[in-house]
Amino acid sequence: MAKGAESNIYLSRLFDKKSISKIRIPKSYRQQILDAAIRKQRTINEARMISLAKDMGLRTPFIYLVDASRAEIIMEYINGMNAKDVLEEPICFKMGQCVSILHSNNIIHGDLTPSNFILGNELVIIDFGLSYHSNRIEDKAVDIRLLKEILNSMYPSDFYNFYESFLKGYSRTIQGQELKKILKTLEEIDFRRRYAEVS
Amino acid sequence: MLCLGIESTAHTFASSVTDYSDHSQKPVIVSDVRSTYIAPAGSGIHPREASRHHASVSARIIDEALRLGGIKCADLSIVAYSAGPGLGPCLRVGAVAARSIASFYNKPLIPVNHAVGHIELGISLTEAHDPLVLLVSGGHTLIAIFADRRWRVIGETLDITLGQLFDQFGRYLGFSSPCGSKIEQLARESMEKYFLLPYSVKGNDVTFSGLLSALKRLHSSGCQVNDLCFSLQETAFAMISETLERALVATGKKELLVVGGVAANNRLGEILKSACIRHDVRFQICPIKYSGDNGVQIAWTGTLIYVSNKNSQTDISESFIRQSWRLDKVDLYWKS
Repeated sequence: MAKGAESNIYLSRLFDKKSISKIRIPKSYRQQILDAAIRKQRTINEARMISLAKDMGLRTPFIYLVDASRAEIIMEYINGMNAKDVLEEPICFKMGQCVSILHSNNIIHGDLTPSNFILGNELVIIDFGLSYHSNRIEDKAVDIRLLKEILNSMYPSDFYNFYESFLKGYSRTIQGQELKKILKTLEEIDFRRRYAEVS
Repeated sequence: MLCLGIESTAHTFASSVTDYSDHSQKPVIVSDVRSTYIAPAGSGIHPREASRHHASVSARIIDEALRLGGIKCADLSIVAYSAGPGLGPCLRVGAVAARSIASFYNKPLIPVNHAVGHIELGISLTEAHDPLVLLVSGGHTLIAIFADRRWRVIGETLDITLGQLFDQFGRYLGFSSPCGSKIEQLARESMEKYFLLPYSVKGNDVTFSGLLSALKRLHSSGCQVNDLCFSLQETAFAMISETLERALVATGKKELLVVGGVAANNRLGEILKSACIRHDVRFQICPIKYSGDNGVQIAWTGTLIYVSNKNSQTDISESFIRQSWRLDKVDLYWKS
């Protein structure tokens, strides 16, 4: 049905329920022990984090089955559009809300791009393969920076509005000192990049 | 339209003359002369020493570039120089030479961003049209796409570059930089014993410093150098390839173009090719001869800038060098 960066997505049926099967396929160019470790660890991680995020009140797919040995997860089929294709300010705002709930519960998503949000009746957040627990300001800032990077390159003319809307949504849950610290760290990380001009 | 290009960002002082005609819009490379500063074994490029090397070879290199094409300075239409990013003392040598020639012969002077040079020459020498670009060298490790007049960086290293990873480990082993081909050769001679090393991918960004520290630690505990070089390549290239696959999926681009000095590494090419096959993406790599720093990339990019806007020349008094000059800060008016 679709090909992600690291997995193949198939439409399947489980007990008569429309579902999808996400299989992290082996990569022949990767050393086998590295490949096996990455696939297994991310599969288990993703299934656990998706369920955890659901406990926090976020809309994520229901996990039906996990087979770590095959690096396969069978989960709920979500009907909707990929946010990447229909991105608007209100969606960015909702993405911000979503991420701030994760961060306030000390979960870092690790791959925040518009393509990891599905717009159905609600905004659904997916793809937790790179997510992890952390209460560090730095990790939260890195998380947001990735989205900023993608917005800036994929939607250059709307970048400012999209990013502002995201931050507005984000500040719904994360506020005050913590928000300030995260945004300041984010700037510092930008300066770590090669040839960044020190202003 | 003849352009003299001068490159001096780091260890290489190079000069080239390219010819341009409206018909082909591909560079005709009239000459390409280079001289590389070799650091003492075990140490890196010292900016002062490298700049002394550049100063001592500059006249000969430029002279040769002109002579090989049977060209006199008066025949030139443009003088272009690499204005950054790079090592200050080295950049200054190239800039001084370019300014002298441009002012004495009254030719338009064009400053060129070195990273843009790598990419634009790569595009001209391959069949790339709208590629996702991977620039891997001693100065850069980044993924970029073109949008709205600029190359936009969608992933990059947050500490050292791929080239630096190779060089720093190579120097630690006692070689002199650039160490890329030495490490590649050692890796090829390995029995392919793989050590699990820190694998640091943050979305589309990577970091290599943890990997470097782990390699040094393993070396001091007596592991085989060949196996370490092998493990270095396999781990670092898997990280690059993963971020690249992520970027391909996120952007939907159907072509990949690899440029920069590390593009000369065969194993990297092999890995990226296999990633491209999976995503049905056209794989293109800058010819090895032009992947490292050279004068052609500067002459050619200078030509493209000048042809698009005859007023784009820089006044001598305002001609600059910029040690920190990011790829994504350069507006490219000839591309839309």
